[in-house]
Amino acid sequence: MTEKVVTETTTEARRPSLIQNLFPSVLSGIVLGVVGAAIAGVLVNRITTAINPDGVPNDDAVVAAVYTAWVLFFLVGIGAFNDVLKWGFARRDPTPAEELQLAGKGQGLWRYFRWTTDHKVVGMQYLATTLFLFFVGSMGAFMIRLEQSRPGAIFFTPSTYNTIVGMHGIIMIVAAVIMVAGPFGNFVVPIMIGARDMAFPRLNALSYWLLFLDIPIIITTLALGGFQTGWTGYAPLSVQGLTPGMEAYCFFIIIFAISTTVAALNIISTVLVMRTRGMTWGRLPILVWGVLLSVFLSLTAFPTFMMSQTMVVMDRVFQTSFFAASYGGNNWLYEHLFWFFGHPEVYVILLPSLAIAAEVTAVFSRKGIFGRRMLVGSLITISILSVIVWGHHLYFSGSNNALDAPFMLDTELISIPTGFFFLAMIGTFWRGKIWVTVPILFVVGTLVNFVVGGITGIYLADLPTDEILHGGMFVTAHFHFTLVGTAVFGFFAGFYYWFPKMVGKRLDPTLGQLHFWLFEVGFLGTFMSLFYAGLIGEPRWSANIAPPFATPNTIASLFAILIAVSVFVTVYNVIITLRSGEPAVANEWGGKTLEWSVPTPVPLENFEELPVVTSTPYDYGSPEPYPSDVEGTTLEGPLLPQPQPES
Amino acid sequence: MSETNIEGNSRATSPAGREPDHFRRVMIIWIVLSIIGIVIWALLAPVILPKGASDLDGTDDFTITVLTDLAIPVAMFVFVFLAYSLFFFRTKDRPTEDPVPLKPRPGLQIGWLGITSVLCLFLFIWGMVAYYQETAAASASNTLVVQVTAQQWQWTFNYPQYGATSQGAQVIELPVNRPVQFLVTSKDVLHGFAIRALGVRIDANPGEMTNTPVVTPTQIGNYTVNCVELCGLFHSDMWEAVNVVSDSSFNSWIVSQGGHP
Amino acid sequence: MSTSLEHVHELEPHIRVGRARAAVIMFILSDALSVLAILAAGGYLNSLNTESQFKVAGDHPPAFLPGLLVAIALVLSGLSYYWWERRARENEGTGQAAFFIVALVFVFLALVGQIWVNMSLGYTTTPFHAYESVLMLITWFTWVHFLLLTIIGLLLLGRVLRGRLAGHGYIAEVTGYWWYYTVLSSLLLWLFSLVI
Repeated sequence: MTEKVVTETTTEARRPSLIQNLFPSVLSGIVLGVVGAAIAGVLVNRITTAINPDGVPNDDAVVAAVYTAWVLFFLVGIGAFNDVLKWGFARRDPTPAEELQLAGKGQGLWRYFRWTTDHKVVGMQYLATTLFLFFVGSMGAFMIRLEQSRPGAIFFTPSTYNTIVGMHGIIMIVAAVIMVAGPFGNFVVPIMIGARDMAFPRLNALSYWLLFLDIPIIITTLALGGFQTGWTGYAPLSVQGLTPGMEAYCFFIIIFAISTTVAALNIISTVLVMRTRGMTWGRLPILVWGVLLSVFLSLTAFPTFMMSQTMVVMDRVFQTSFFAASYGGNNWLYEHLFWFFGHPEVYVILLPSLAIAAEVTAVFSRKGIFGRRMLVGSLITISILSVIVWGHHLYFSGSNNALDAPFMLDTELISIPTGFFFLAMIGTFWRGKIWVTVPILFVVGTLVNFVVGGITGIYLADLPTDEILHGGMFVTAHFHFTLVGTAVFGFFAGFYYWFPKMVGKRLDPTLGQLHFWLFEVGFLGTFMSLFYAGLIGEPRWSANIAPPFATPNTIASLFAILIAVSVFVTVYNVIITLRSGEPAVANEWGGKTLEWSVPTPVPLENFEELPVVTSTPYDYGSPEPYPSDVEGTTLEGPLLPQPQPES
Repeated sequence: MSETNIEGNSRATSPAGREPDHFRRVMIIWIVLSIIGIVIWALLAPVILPKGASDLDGTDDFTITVLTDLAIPVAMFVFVFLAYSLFFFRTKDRPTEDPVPLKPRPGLQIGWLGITSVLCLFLFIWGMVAYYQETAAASASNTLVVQVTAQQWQWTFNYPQYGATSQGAQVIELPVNRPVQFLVTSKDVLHGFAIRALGVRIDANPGEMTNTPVVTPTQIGNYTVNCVELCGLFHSDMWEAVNVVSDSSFNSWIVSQGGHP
Repeated sequence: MSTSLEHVHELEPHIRVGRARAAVIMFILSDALSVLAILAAGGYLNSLNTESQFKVAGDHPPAFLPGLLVAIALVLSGLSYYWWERRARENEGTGQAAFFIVALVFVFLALVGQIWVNMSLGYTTTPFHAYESVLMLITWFTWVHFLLLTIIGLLLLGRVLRGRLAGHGYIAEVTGYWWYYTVLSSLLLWLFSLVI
């Protein structure tokens, strides 16, 4: 797909040469990053060998230096710092032509491989990366299910198995954090609020490329011996010598925290100041609320996560003792720091998907969201409450028993606004005209799974039941139902919903339905079996399944095959669509949010004229096709095509 | 409640002719399925849940049963409304006109919040009462104390009151019907001490001593203690036997482990 | 607003001001939470005093006088910046750039001073006890922030010298938020390091 350049005359756009496309680009970033990392590694190796009385290098220090240098030099190589220097030392502000050049004008497909500021390009980059991370993470999942299909250690050594579990966990968590805010928060939200780009286009590119360069960091753990702690990285296990693969995890998190903070700044600023005229807070589409609250939560959550990993790196590289009991450290510190981040983090993951569910349901029921204002209030309440519940991960840690009761109260209170979400969804479906498409199927899956996930959360929130369930597979099944069954299904609802707008082609609906049914049936089978395994006492992280738990695990592994098939069905669907899919129309689904009022493919400037919004995008049942008015005229013209019957 | 308002609305705004009373249908289906679900759970629960072997575990399992009894109607509510809507309100293809929007129902919303709040409060109070009962059990004078030391990747058990250490094959032997408390610590990293059958669980922290509530085993039998906090390579191999035996068997076992009864 | 491709990236002045303020305030919030995490970690480990090993005989805070000098340099830097920034905003011009340069110099002095404090902490035996660990973290955190502030200050100096600040007084204002925040949070960490 190439973007049609809308006007060629007003800006001097020459086709860039190959060299101009390559330097700077991701290629120069990688080359420079590798070179810089190698130099740093050798240097620190020599230095630590010289300093160390034993004459051996400090492996952890070498690895830390390699990663730091990789980050800095990659950014130099891709041209991230060019604009920083220009901001300070250039003689003049950038011209419009230069800004458009940065936004990828006239570069064709190259713009996806360079430091490009256009939010739509960044959105597509995030989408591709998210799908890639999901694919890699699910390969890890299938390896786990393979190993757990029978008792005994079968395919993997314990060290490899623990690394696979850890990588599966952290890669999926990262993918789930970015999966909505990255692709849709970047591509769709600015258009939805009537803006031409994000508030900080360059920071947008920065947040993406930080994520991109972060991925090799976690992959290299495989070459460094892996890490044994699982995705939570608990100290002091994470500080034990063993192999330097643990640094990969720590740096993965630190860089990701920076990327997420930058993205959060950008999205919050955008929604605060870039809304078009008439787009009041009361008329804001629910997706924007979901993404906004999510990134605001992440802004408050990630600093402690980053500090916890900084402390682990310090303990490993410099022999400090934040977490070593013999020298005054304590693992409870790690647990508090981690879970103060870890709990809001799951709501960072969940909120945008719930927002997508509401958004999609309104469109495919042709009805406004039931109780919309209270729904927004519920999302806000969930965000606030989620910051003060982290202690429920520490019920049985042995610390602070006096706080168990308040934490239990807070945790159970979250079920109230969450329950309201269900009322809003049921009320939107009820007596609507429901057009059953792949997006709405995934929404139904989201809701069904969220019922199970939410209810089982109560079991874990309650002290007497958590006593027998904590640390067991019941917990694993619960968070898969919420993070995968709810959040990832919500992502896929958004994926099938916005794919025609973002890519300009239609995904095959039959393959989409196949994807849904295989995924949902496989998912329910796998994780219901694991609930049962947890009830009868199977602990988490079992490389070696004990015989009493064999049956539910075998059943779970068999159902997981269905999930695996669904992954490949989707990959196939995406590939054939990109190659030869039907072109999509501008308003594929008859939606009323502003992104459906612009042409597909979306022009660089989004809108020819910025719209003036006059109502919410949920006033179905009214004669207006779109909630916006162009300079007081009636809604006609190329800007606002009516939904067309299938051609 | 204000459900009647929706019902009234649907009658009032339906076009001429007898449109089925969707709401009443849904409520009936919901009630029937909930009852069936609760009955099935009542039959399944004794089969699914492992037999409780202590007073604590009994309370915990009972709480699971009650939670599930509450959960079934709640879950059915959502499932039934969703399924009904998808069957009866779906359109063949892309709809050509919008449906009549539902009137805003603040009463319904407030009522819903009210009911969920009451449910939530009930769950909280139940949980607090149950947990308080478990943990506030005062140490009786004959409470057995077992010191547990976790390390990568095995458990060690001491009976300080008897001067015995479980040697060789590490097992926990417990006399039936006698209160016991576990004092737990770790030598290296975080571990999780859990005996599912007895309903006890506490982390083993290096540098700290933590204790489980006082629990009384009530059934003679063989159970297991597992590690439930990832502790490295052989985490899933870190399980030992827990045997609940008669008093006399316990005493002879103590002697065999080098202690004095 | 603009209607053609050429003006895609033009933003109205009030939007430029609004986005700058929002971003810097969010960034301060994020960093403040890191500072809070450090303070909480230090206080928590202190109160737990695991195995009575939090602080052992011979553990001492960083030397007082150099720390005091760094603190003074910081405060002077903040005051100097404030003096400059007020004038710059009033005139919508570059104000008296000399005061900005003075502020920047003081930050650089604070940076050098703090690195020196770090070098002379005098903790020798590894593994370091928890107390020493916390102080090492505080010291590093502080000079890393001074380094960041120096870099930001140099960039802003570039703009000032090139005359590209006129009409963009809000840049001085929002940089000021970060400047004062760095001063205040560093002072807080310094005081904490003295009492823990």
